[in-house]
Amino acid sequence: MLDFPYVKKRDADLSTNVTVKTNKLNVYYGSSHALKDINITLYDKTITAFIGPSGCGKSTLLRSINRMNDTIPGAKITGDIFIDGVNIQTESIQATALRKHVGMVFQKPNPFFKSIFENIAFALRIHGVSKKDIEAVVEESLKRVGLWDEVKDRLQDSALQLSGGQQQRLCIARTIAMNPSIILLDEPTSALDPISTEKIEQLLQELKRDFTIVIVTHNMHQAARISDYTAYFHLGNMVEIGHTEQIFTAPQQSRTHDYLSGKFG
Amino acid sequence: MKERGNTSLAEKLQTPARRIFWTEWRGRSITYVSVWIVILILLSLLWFITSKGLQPFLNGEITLSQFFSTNWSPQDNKFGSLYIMLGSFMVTIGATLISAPLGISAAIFMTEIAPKWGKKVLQPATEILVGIPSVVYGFIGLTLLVPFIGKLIGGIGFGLLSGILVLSIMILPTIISISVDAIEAVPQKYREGSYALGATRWQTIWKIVLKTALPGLMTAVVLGMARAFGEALAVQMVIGNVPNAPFHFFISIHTLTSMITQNMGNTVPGETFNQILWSMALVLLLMTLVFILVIRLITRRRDVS
Repeated sequence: MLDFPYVKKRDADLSTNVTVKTNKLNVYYGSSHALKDINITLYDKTITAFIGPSGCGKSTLLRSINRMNDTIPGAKITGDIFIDGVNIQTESIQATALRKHVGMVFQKPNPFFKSIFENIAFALRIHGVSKKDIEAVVEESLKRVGLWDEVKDRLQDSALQLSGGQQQRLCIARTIAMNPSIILLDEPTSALDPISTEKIEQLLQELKRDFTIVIVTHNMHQAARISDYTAYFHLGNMVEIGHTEQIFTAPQQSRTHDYLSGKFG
Repeated sequence: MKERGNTSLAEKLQTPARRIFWTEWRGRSITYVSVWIVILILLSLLWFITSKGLQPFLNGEITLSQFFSTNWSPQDNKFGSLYIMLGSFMVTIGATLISAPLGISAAIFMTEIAPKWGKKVLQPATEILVGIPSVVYGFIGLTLLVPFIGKLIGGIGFGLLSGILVLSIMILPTIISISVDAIEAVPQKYREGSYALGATRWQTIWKIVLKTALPGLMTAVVLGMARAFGEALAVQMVIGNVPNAPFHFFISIHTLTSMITQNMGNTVPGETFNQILWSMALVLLLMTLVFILVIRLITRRRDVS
């Protein structure tokens, strides 16, 4: 029996608008076949969690959605990824423009070696936000991640003086400052303490109203708590995807069941 | 094991291991003695140069204001060395202005643009450049550069510009290799963060990587300057060795180092000229201290986690 008493109940009003859809997506790193024939659909303004053991391909899929794999030498991608119906694998799509609309937050908080203010202003400047708007957007973004009251008196201090949890919220703030449609999070809380983790989980629930969120997590309990959909990956295959409540109470595949019950992983 | 069974654990614990004690003592003595020898050499050098350098001032043979004047004429016992010091500064600044942008750009290429090729070809190449002795650089400058400049501009070709060019080539590998280290030390997560925000490669390099590596890059430049300031042989071979005002590219000038190398054999220990050379050596030493201090200040401000 699976035992996830806190699993998120299925929302009645989940959107059926498709945001991301992949078609036979394969990713190779050199000779290793990291993702195999992935067909996945992600819906607008929902949280989808990717779970699975290390090396299962969940981060690779995440990094395909904003083409971060382009920066890895030797990475090769076949198949299609459609975002709002547009194939992002085509030549005419600029990766830099794509990443403005598909933001990403990483496992280790990575604020730049700059002030708190500049960390967000950098993102705005490279996308041509005018000087007079920058201040307002910085304030708004910091307020949305609940960091404003903690840092408003020291915006010019180095961002590296913040605690790990604050740094991660700053990274989320600088991502949403660009007003993306999709936010990808790659194990965003695995380097954080439980209190910071809880804050970020609450934040994601609020951000869900405006953004489509995809989160890779090593922690299946986190997936159960916060996500609407859960996809289970194993050795480069997507074994199963479904409503989180269904995956964590009655998975269809025995491999999913074994992973969730702690037989391996 | 059985025959040892009759000594209690308490007894075993109290038995000192003699051999361990002896090797510990020996190792510690060797390192202590070595460090004291180094400190002693350093202190005696500092003491020697300082006392020798201060001697002409203490003996009243020259005043500080005379030393820092422009009136240089040893035959009249006038040793105003300002132009010579300025000569050192001019070649150093000139060489740095050429080599800093060149070296840092090369380092960016080797680390960010073409890391494979940079690592395989360019890094060994810079290491070879570091290893070429300064007399060889000077010889090349004397044989190729000086006649070339002479032909191009007219005149003899010795002077400030030749000194600057030779030095800029000499300090280039220093600046490159330390800049490469500084840029490589920038954690990959900063680059990823920048790309993920939609920054281009150039924006990432310029605004994130270089900004983060700035203390290291400044250290590279200051170390290059220190090397330029202290280089003697190669400079002396191409600079012309006339204590003119060093404000023109194509006239012969002097630097502190070229003055010392040129005259240390031609002066008699004890005479004022010889003592003045020691004062120049002291100025060089103090400048080196300033460079080291600057590097310390730059690197201390760094609070990268």
